[in-house]
Amino acid sequence: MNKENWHLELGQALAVLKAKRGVEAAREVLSLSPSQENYINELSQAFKRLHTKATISALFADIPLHMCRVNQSLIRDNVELVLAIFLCEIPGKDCPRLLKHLNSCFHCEEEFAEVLREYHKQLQLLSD
Amino acid sequence: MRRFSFEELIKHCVDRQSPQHNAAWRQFYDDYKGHIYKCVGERVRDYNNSLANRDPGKLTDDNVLIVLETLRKKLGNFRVKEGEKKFLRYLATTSCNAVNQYMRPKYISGMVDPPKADQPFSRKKIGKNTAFEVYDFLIRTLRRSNSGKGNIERDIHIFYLYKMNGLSQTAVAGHPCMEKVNPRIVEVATARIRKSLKNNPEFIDRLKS
Repeated sequence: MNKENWHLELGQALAVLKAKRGVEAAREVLSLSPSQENYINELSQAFKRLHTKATISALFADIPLHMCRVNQSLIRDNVELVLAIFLCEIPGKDCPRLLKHLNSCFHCEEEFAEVLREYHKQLQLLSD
Repeated sequence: MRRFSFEELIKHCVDRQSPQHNAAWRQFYDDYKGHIYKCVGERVRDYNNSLANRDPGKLTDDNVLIVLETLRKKLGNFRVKEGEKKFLRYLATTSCNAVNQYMRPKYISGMVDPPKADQPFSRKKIGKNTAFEVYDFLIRTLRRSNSGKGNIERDIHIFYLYKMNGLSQTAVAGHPCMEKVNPRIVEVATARIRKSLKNNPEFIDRLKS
């Protein structure tokens, strides 16, 4: 993943997977580069492995309540968790833990906001 | 006139009864004003980018006065034997803290209140370190004054996304972990945080200072 554009790339990939239109259909709307298409396919495979509720609950249970260490952002480093947040049905009791971590960790909060911004923008483009 | 060594300088500045007190402060100002202005100026510029239409030169002067006032009271806390190199870091920290205390409420007030036409407000231009300190202050203040309230974490998160990060209401409402949130709830949550800050004694005190 491109280090500078990773918010955009991740947000775009999440929107394509959420819209369930496939990479081919999305290619017409969003100008996807071959590397971005590969990245979306990789995320799609990772998402398929995330099908059990137990796996998702375990991911949420592992979210720390305190701030991440410098250069170790939970949102940036744990793509499975991001997939679970954006694409899976989250068990209600796990959400407060995520919100508490995001509020406690400025780095994750900033990165989450950027991914959410891109995700929303790309999802709107795909649904137009 | 004889110049004081670093140890003597700090000693005479701290000791108000010393006959060299005023001379020491004059030397202190000559020696360290450049460093103080540099530290204060950088932080003031950072805040002031978001608070348009303020005179940066005057704001910097005001903040340098506050730093000097703080140093008059707290210089005695510095351990002279740690040397001048550490003292420069101490000055930088003191300067940043003083600017934060003075500018942060103004910045938060700009974020909380609807922007006026002649005073546009932009969160994006604030530097990362300053944004982190503002955020940290906000979270601590809001958690302290709203402890026990059920939705406070959700409200803080909405407030951050909507007011501090500039996401649209629909983007916040499309948050994957907050399915029942709609644009109206975003407004209500933001209004609750705004009210909480406006009623917070710590925030009001700092806004007056």
